[in-house]
Amino acid sequence: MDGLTLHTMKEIRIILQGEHVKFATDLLNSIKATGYTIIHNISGKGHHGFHTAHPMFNEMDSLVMLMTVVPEEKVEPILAGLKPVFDRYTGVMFVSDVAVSRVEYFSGQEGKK
Amino acid sequence: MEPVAPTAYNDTQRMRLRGVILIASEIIAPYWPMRTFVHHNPLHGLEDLHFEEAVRRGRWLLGGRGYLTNELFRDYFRSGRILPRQIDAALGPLAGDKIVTLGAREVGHIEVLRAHLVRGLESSVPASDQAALERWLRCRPDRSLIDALAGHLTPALSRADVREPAEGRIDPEQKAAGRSSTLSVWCDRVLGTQITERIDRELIKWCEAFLDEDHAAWSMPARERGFYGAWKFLAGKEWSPCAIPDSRRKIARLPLAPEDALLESLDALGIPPEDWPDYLSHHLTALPGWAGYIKWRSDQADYEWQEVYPVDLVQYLAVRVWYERELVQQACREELGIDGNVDAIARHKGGAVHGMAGLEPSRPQGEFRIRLSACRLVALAHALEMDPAVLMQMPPENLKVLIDWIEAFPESNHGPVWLKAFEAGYREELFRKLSPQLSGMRRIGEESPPPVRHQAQAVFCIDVRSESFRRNLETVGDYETYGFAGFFSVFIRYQAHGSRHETDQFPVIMKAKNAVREVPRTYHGQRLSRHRAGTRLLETGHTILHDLKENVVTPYVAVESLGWFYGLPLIGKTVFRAGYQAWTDWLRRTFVPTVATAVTVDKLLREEVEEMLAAEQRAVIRRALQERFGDRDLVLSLERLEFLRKRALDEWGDESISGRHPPKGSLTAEEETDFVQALRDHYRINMGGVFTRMERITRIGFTPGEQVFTVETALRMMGMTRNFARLVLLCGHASTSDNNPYEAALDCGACGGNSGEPNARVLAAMANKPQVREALAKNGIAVPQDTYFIAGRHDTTTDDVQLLDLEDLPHTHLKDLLRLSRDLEEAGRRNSKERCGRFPEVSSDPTRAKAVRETRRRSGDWSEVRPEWGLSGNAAFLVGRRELIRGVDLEGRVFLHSYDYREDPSGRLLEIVMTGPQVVGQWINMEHYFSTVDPEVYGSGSKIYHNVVGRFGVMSGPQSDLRTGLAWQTVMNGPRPFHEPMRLFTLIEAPRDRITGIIRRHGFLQHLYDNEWVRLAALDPEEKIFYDYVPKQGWRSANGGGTSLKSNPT
Repeated sequence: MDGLTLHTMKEIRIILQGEHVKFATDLLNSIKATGYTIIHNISGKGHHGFHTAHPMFNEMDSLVMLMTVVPEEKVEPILAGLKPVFDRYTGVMFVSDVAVSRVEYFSGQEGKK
Repeated sequence: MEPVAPTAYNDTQRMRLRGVILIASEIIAPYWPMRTFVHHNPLHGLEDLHFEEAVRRGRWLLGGRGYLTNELFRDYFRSGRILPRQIDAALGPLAGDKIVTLGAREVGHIEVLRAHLVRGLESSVPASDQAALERWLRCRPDRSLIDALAGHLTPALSRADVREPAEGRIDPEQKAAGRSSTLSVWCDRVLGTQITERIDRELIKWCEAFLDEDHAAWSMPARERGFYGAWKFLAGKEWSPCAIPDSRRKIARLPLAPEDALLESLDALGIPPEDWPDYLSHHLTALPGWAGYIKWRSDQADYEWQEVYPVDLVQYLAVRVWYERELVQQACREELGIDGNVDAIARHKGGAVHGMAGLEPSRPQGEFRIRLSACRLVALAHALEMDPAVLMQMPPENLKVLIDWIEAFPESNHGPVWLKAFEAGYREELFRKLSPQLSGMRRIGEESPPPVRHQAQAVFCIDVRSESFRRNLETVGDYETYGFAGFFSVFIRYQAHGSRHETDQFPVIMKAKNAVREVPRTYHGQRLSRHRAGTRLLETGHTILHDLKENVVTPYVAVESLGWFYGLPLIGKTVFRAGYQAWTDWLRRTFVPTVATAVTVDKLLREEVEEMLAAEQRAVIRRALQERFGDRDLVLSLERLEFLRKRALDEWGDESISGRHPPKGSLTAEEETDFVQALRDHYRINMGGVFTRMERITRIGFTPGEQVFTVETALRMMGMTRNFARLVLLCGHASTSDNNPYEAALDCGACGGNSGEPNARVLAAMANKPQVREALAKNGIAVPQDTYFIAGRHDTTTDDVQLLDLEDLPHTHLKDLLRLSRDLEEAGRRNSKERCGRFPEVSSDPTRAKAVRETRRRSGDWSEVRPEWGLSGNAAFLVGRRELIRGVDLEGRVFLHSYDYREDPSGRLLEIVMTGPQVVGQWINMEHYFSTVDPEVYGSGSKIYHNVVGRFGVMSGPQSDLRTGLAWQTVMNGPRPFHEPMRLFTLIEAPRDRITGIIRRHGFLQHLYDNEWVRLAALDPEEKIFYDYVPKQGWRSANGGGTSLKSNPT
């Protein structure tokens, strides 16, 4: 069982309004993050109170979570790009350490579509 | 012209710039292509600000008025539309308690304000400086009185001049005058250059060319590089654009990334980073139409044009600010001998350049102020019906109080007050009309009379035009009508038969979930082949004519031969309108017979999906073969195509069946191998492609579970859960007009600017399925065996209702159908008569026959700028039961959504209505509001000058900003407004705490109501009392009996 070393990277979780998801994904694409996961229609409680998850007729009002794994040097630019959004609108962002085994998969130059 | 040293920018700076641009672009509203015109709030990005604040910001950045002119409001007052007590109610919060004694009379603050509002004391003295004032005074009869009064006032006023106007009291008008905050505008103002105009012209040119969607005869090359890349490539070949010297080398030296180019330009101009948001906002608002379209395009996830030719605001600004940097540098060097950046200019000027400073003070000073005040006081006296001579006897301090009161309420602040008074008038009227209905409405637990089975039930869209049709239908027969958002809770991406693209049939705030196609019914085989042949013939004809028109040589050879042919439609459509229309319809029917179709509501079986996919891939292979080997005479049989397809998918080996010596009409072995590889690489005939296509094809149709959920939600939301009639009509709507780029604006907004027909058909098909009915019965909705749902399409221009999918109607219901058809026709006639009364060109009170002729004419007349009033006049959104509005004449101005509070104890259904259809109504209302108060900035001006560009928008004249909003003719009647610009008034028939709970759960609803974008009221069904929602506080009974504040919603 060789080739199973784990490499540390950073995982970023972003929760923001459906309206701004395109901006966030464009940002991740420009910074050449290799990929991201989107979870739609989440609910929860925050500074603005409780938010329910069933926007049956209005996507823009929904809350979305984005998850992406990037090498450490990309964390600061992502933070810098999202800061103006969080200053004005609902949303939070967490950065945590994570370990992956296929380091080339997550830090390649070109992102997979 | 010193070269800027190439700075390396890091990712952090680039990403921060992107974030800043997002904030800067809030002021720009996204603009949807006109094919699916979407009404939206032009200040949508500012909805987290209070309405009045947002309007001020719009004035500062876009230069747009937020309210009707004071003159227009005064006209409304004189005509009685606005009453004095409504004005006083609106002025209430502004007036203090102080009273001034004038002779025998005591004058309160509110009286002065009212006089100022109604008479316009400022504009009654039309003079902006002392010289103008003297000229005006020379012809006045009361000149001596004014002179005396001025002398009387002098001691009181000259002392007060020393006080500097506080920042907060700077007139918003002055802010608007200082809207020019970019260096280019500064140069234009100070040096007399025309830089901004030149930049605008260049950008319009590039945007027009890049964003074109197959409308231009010659399309722009190199667009795959993106907007910035293409510009860099092509402008780098231009000979000195805008007379910028050495442009080629400068452009070649620009960085490859647009973010870097923009950062470079901003650094060169010396704009400090904290000013970037406002500075870039100014750049974006110079051409808000084009910026809006780019913003919309960059927000789309799967718009083909955007995928192939990407553009976004970062690239747009990179290009635009480069032009500014070069032109400002050039102008400053030539005229002033300094560099073109903020620091150099500030040093030269000795002060700040952009921002609020350096503006002329608005408040008149000194002698001018004294004389002006004297004039105004005389005007005030006249307004209060007092003898002006009385003023001379008052102590100057008292008069000064009056003058302060007048100056603290400048005419630029009158807008909001007039608006409140204006809206109060409509609200009172609405309550007055609805009050008689309250006694007949049942509460929970109250016994209702035994249910009687209606002749038929009809469900219409919430559109305001449905209100008048429903009312007329209910007078014709025993019909029970409902209102439901026109997409009938069916979120589909729809492909019509014979159409190559799909439409999103739901409000733009949502995403598609399922796909539906229109397919021909199987028994029409022969007609179908004729239909297909005819369509191909028509298409070929169109293509030939189009190519001829665009060809360079045509004018020299074809005009004489073809000109007379074009004369036919010209004369036909203009002079012999009805006859020509009938003749072309007959021609079309003969060559392209209509084919009966059905919609694919069910999911496809696996074999069907695979066959569909295989057919698509074979079509792609056929096209590819024709493209690559078109000159060869290849045999394109089914087996050959299928063989190539299987090979590409690796299902057969690499053997070619042709062998060493291929027969005539096929490829050699190598050609075949190469071709198969190309199929895999370029044409996506590979496993990945199969996966993606399968995913899309399997989205077609609804699972049984989805069907039950859709139908049940729709029925419960309307409150239609028992007592079904034999026929239930689900009526979508669309409009018909000729030569009208704004056609989609008259279609169903709830269906994304498309016809509501597909949605009605899908819901009807679902609701008629036995399995669905079984499941509904299990869930508590018992639909009788003999109830049949039928789909229809209401043409809002001609009031024609067409019933659809009649092939599926069971023969037991033929009689019901005939009766319904007849009644719908009669209702249409009555509705046309009512509507014709509102057209200014039609003589009042036409006969029914004349009205029908008139509406039909308008739908086919290519010179008609106003085929119908559409949604103009919209004022309110009503959510409640039919009993509330039955028989009430709401003049076709109200959105009606059916809702039964007794069926919805959890409030979930009301939440859906408030967060979905109400938002659609608010967008429509705001679009009409702003296009009426400022047709040039927020609206699109007169239709006469419109030119369609790129197939998605219009410009005024040959080259201008992309026009957004509604046209003059849509909202105005000549010089006066037809649409009464008021904010949407939402009235919900439900318990107040249910509404409050919903508001508390949605931030954007709090924005709408607390920031006064929408005025909310509730009809408590238990108490039968109307309550107004007071922003941030709670509910107040509308009868005026004290404030009963309930729970605080924040």
